[in-house]
Amino acid sequence: MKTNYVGKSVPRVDALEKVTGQAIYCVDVELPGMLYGAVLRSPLAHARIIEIDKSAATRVPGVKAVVTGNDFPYTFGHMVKDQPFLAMDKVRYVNEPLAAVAADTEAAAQEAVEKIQVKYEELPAVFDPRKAAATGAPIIHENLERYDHSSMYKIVPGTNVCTHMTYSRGDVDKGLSEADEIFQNEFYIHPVAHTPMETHAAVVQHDPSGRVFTVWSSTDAPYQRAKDLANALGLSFNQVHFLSTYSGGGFGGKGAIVAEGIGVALARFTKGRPVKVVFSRQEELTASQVRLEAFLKLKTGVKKDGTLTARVAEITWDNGAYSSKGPEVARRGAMTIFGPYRTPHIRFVSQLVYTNKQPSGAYRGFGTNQVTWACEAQMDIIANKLGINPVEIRLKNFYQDGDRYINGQVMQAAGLRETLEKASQEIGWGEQYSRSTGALVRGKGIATTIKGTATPTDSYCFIKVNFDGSITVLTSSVEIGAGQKTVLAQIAADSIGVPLDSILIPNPDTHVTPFDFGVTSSRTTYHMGNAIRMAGQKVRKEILEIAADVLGANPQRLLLCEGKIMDKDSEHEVSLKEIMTKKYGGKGGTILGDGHYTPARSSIINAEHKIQWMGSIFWMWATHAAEVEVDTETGVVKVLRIAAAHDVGRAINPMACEQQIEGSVIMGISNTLFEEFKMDRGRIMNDTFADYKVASMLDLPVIVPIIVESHHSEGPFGAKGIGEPALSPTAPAIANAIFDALGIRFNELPITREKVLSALRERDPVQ
Amino acid sequence: MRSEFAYASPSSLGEALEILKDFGERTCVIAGGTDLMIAIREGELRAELLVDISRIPELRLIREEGNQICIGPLVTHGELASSGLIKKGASVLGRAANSVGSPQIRNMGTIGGNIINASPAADTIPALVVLEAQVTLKKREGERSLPITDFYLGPYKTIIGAQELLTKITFAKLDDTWKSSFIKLARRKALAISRINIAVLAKMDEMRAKEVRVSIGSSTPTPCRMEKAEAVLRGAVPSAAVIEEASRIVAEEMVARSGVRPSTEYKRPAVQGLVKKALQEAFNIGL
Repeated sequence: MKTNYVGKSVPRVDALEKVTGQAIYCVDVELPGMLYGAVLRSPLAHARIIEIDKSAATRVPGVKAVVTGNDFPYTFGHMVKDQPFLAMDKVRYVNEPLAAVAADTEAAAQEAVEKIQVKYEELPAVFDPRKAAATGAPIIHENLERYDHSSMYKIVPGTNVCTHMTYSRGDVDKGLSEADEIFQNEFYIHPVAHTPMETHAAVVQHDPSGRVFTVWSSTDAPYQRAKDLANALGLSFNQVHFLSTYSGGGFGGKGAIVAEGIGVALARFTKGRPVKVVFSRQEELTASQVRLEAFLKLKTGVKKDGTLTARVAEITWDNGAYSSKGPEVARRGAMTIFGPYRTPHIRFVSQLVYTNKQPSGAYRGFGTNQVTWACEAQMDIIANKLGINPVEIRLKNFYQDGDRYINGQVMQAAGLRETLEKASQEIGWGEQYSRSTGALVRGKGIATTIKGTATPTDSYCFIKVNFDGSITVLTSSVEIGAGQKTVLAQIAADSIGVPLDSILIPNPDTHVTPFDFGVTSSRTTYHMGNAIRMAGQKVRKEILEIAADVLGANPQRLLLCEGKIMDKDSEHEVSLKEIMTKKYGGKGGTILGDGHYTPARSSIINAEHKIQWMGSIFWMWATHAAEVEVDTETGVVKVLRIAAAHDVGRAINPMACEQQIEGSVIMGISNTLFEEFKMDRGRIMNDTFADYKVASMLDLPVIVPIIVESHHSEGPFGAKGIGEPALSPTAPAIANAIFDALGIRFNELPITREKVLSALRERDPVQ
Repeated sequence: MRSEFAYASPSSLGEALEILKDFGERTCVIAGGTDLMIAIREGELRAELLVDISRIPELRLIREEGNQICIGPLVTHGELASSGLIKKGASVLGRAANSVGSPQIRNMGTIGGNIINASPAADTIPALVVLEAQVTLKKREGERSLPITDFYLGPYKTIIGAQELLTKITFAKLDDTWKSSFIKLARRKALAISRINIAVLAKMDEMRAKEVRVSIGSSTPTPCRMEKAEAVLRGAVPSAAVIEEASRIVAEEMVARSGVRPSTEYKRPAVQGLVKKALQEAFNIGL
């Protein structure tokens, strides 16, 4: 189908608003009578709260409310309802919120916070999820089994194990016995911060008469957050009203109730005055959420020719003190530990364990970073030991169209092979090159990934054609900064047949815009894109019927393109505006179209009984190829070049796709070589951007984004997704390149210069 | 809570010295504020009166006085990095200044602040040490000048009196028989504090190094020269072997001065590697 916008790198529809500073982010929201919130946070990792004395705090001039867990005794949780809005009875991590203050000024709120007195009884704490899972470990949630939680997540009563899952297919003993060689390796991947430009923030107003909380928030999924809050407080969905602002970066970190919870607790006590809560960078780094730390063990059987026969995987994930989306990360992540490879016999054990640390949660990739790190490093270990080219061993085992996934789903794998071929070609894989100059040694590495999307999940939208031909698209997909509005407007414009600039997509409002699962799981282009396409086709049809009526023509013979209706027979052309004016002129009117997309009934996700949920309506494939230069005298690893090839199905907006790829590679380099929390008894010591180092522009290489288009049969214009998979192959590609350069394998992230230099000196003691 | 304090903004050097004379120990001098503003925000300022010297124009000059270069303490890192005089007569200082922080920090942060703050990781200090810079401290009653290496007592500790103000930094202008290098290793390439920084000056006489000065920052308790290594290089024809030897000695000297610490395992070999690079660059010897 011919498109005017889809497939073109049109500029962001919100670019002007953003570069001129007009766009409203959550931290910009100002309301009449607004108060400012501040939070008292725990100095201890694990302690019983004996007493909180807030009397001095309430006397600070300008203070309107001082709230503790006793005053607002509710808990929330998206998957396991384990988290108090403000600590009750116990604190479970350093910087957990204990009490909050609302005051006329930030300074007064902060002063009052410092005057709250708390008496604690310190309890033994545990920070390593492996130790926390062992018998005798301090129990972090004594009433774990009594928490409301979805039956999908198996809690182990009396322990710190929040989710335990095992799965097997085939017969791993048989598979391992068929192998010529068995590889056993252990890997570690560290927690990292999301580091959005806009920290967590919320403005909350409580209307006491109607019992409605209105929440301004830059969360990535307003419906999920409103539902979770309503559930926590025993309110109806209508009583928790979310108004989305623009979001200054999420990367998964905005996928939980964070500042919103503090705002709600305060607003309940401020007699209708709105309260604004904006996290400092310290709070963002220490008390929002982080990527799940994970320990992974792989046992893989391989034939001499590189054919995989079996894999057994054991993963221990760190949930932190409370469950954000950890339980689902531990499930979905574990499922892709087998990579994009046919493995006849598999088994995994995945356990998610509470520790006395900041909660873990969704982080761009949703578990894929962790498992890809282990899977792709081991593929290289295997290739090296068997003397097989790392490209060849991957090609040999890759899923082919028609192969079955671990739940029996039939794979659509077109595009996978092409990502590997194009990425490796781009960095000159296999070509001769000068490998060392003095102390500098170069190497190349590749890594591939598989990422699905949460399935089935639903998206709804309304399209409103206004009386002058302008179009409003009502959707709950948040513009999180990745270009959602632009891509959705392109799809709307081409589905209806109108100019892009006639389309307006307002920010979501849960009292108005219909349900969407959220801007998460790389799902928006595909799911909301499909919903908009369906609604767009409906209004297009109605427009043509109205036009036929107005013009006295046959609707079958009319075309709508770029806002003009043309009669195929007479070639007579009328603008949409004229038609609408003729039809609705004088009194006004609207054409409405709705769209609901769900993959639930698609045959693509057919799988074995009861495990359909493990599959995905689309699979995203990617290969990254990295070239690095290691300074053997200082241990500094410089990434010279990364080629990142991604099968996106169809690029609705190629520039936006490239930006997603580049942004992900930057994050990947940063968390592989730079980012690391320094902890001391549960306290994060590097809690500012002066000390928590994110890669700067000067540290970055040439990044070559490569778009592969395999055209998904049910995607809007063939599109799949791109938000998450572009991150996970970066770390193993770099590590594999370092191995190629030095012959030294790093199985633990991050790869710091200290580790590199120490490993080099261990290898060459005389140096 | 933000620190609370009184504020004075003298418009002349005389006025500033009067204030320091009267309030001495109770004052803290602020120039660019890149360190102090953070302390103030954290409530860590230990002074009742903040004396803002940023409106004293005479402290903001880079001048040539005979064969000396004379720098006022308010000269910013950005100004040092772009000064033609510095580029020509003390390029090692320009490069050191240019490695500090970000453009915003370089445009606010002053050389005086970098010297007085006395962070072991200060980037301009090793450059000033190899330039054999003198600092001039003035109070109402008079002034004194001393070598920058005598100025420091320890990390964040200097000999400056409560009534004194740093008023200028001077050193001899270098001619083009002097070669130099400045290398910085930090956790990333911009906006990062040095973990190791190295300044090298070498006066060449044909093929021979007539005089070599080496100073490393972030690695010793007080700024100093690496005299043993300098002795090895003095009079030598620079070669890979001599450089290797000198680098090894610098690493040893560093450990001797700072003791073995948790960071030594990394720093000893890294210092050796970086000194090698710095000497290679100064002597223009390929890898």
